[in-house]
Amino acid sequence: MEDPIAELVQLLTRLPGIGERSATRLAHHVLAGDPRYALALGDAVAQLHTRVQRCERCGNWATDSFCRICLDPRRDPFVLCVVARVPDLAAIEKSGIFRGRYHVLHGLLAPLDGVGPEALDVGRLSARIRAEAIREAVVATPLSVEGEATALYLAQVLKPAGVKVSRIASGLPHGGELEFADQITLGRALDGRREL
Amino acid sequence: MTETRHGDDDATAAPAESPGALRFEQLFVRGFRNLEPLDLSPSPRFNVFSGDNGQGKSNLLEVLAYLSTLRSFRAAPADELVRRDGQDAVLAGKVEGPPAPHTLKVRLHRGRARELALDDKRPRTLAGWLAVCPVVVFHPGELALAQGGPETRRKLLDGILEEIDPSMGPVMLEYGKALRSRNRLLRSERPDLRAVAAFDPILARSGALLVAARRALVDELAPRAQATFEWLFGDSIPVDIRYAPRIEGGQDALLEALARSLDKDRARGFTAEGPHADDLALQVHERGARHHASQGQQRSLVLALKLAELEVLARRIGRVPPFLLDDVSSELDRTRAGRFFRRLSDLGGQVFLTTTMPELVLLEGEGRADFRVEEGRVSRVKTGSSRDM
Repeated sequence: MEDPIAELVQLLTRLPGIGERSATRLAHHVLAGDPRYALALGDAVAQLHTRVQRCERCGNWATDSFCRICLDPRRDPFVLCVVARVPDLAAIEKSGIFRGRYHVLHGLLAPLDGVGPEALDVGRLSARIRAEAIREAVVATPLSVEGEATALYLAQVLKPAGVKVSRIASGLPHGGELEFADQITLGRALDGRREL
Repeated sequence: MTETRHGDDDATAAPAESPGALRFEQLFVRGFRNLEPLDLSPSPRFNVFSGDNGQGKSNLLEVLAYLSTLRSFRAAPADELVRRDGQDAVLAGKVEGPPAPHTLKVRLHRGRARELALDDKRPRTLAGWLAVCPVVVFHPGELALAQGGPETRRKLLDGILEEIDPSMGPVMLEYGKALRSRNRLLRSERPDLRAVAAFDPILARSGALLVAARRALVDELAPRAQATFEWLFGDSIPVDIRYAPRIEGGQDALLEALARSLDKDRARGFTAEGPHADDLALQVHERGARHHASQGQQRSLVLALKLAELEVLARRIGRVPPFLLDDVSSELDRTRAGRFFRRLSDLGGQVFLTTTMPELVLLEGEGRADFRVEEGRVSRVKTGSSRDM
C-alpha cells in the first residue's frame, strides 16, 4: 500500500544529522502546514541541481558559469587558496581575511576510500595556475591524514610549475593551553614556529 | 606502592595489602557463557579458582577482563558471551581503589549493541571507562609472545603505551592510517609515486613519536622482566630483552629510509621500513628465544614480561592493577611456581588465578580465598592455608 509519509521520512533520514525521529517530525510538520510551503520547498529542492553548478574556473557553487568570487574584480588574481570542499571555502570567506581566489578539489587523496590522485584532477589546477600566472597556492586542506597527504601531493605536483606552494599553519587553538595539547598538535606547532 | 626486591628473605615478609591497589570488591554476573548466577566478594589479595577443564574458570576471568577492557581476551564476539539459552547477560563490578571507588556495569544483548553504565551513568567517553580499572591478563595464548612473530610483541608494547599515555592513541591511529593508505597506493596498478611519497612525512612524524615512546617503555620494562626471569631461573641463564627498531634514529632517518626503499616497496607492494616492522627482541643465551629457548624458558619469559607490565603500569598510573592469570600453574614446575607466587605476593595487588591443580598454587598465609568451579557454579572452599574472611 502507498505510504507517502513513510516515503518522505525515508528520504529525509538520508540527510546528515537527521535520524528517523527528526525525519518523522519534519514530515508531519510539512504535512500539517500550508500546502504552498510544501510546494515551494519541493520546487527549491527539485531545481537545486539545475540552478546551481560548479564554477567553471574554481569549482565553487555558482548560478552562472562563474561564481561571484571569480567575478569579483577586487580579489587578488595571483593568490589561490586550495580547499577540499565548498563548506571549507565558506568558512574561510566568513573570516574575511583571505583576499585571493579559490580552487575547490571536491575531495581528498583517500586511498582507503578508493580515492586515488587521479580523482583530484590536479591537471586542471596546474593548467589554471599557468594560465592565470598564479604566484602562490595556499593549501587549506584539513589536518587529517588525508588532508595532509593531499597537501604534500599538491606541493610535489605544483612546485615544478614555478608556483610558491604554502600550507596553512597548524598548532594550538586560540586560548589553548600547552600542557593539555596532544603530541601531534604540539609537534606541529613547534615545526611551524616562526621568528618574532 | 610496594617496593619489590628479589632476595629470598624479602619474599617471606607478610603479603601486605597495597594501599595503591585497584581491587574488584564485588562481582555480579547473570547469563554470561556457562556461568550460573554469581554474586562474589573476592579477596583483596589472592583468589584461586580451581576445577576441571571446561567448568567455567576462564569465563570468570573473562568477565573481569571484559569489565576492564570491554572486550574478550579470547576475541569472542558479544553473541558468544551471552548464555546459549539466553537473550542478554549482565556483568557488574565494584572497583575499590584510589582516587575513588567506581561501579562498572555492562549489559550484553544478543544481536544488538551493549549498554554501559559507569557509576550508574552512561560513560561520556570510552577512554573514561578504560581508565577506571586496567588489568593485566596472562592466558596460555600469550605464549605467542615468546613463540610467535614480532607482531604480538609490538602489540604488547603498544597496548601498554595506550594505558600509560593517552596521547599515544591518536599517534598510533595516524601512523596506521597513513601506512595502510600508502600500501593501498603501492598496490594499485600504476602507482603515482608522488602520491605514495605524500604519506612519507606523516609516517615519519608519527612513526618517530611511536619509536621514542616504545624505546622509553622498554627501558622501564626490560630490566624488570629480566630481574623476574633471573629470580625464577637463577643467573645461570642470561636473558636479554631489548627494543629492536627497524630504523634507528628519529623523524629524518625514517623519512630517508622511506624514500630509499620506495622502488623496493613498489616492487613488493607494501612499505618495508618503519616502526610497524619493529620487534621486542627476546634472547636467551644470546640467541633468539623463539627458536632457541626451551618451552619452560619461553613460559617463564612471558610470565616475566607480564609481571613487568604490571609493575610498569603500577608505577605509571600510580595504582597496582588486578592481575588475571589463566591456568598459570601448568606453565611452571614446582620450584619455579613457588618463586613466581612469592614474587607475585610482593607486588601487593589483587590477583585472580585459575588452575586445575590448586595444590601447585603455593600461596601461603593471609588473603587467600579458594573457590571451586563446577559446571558454571562457583563456590567458596575453605583450605588449610587460607583463613575464612
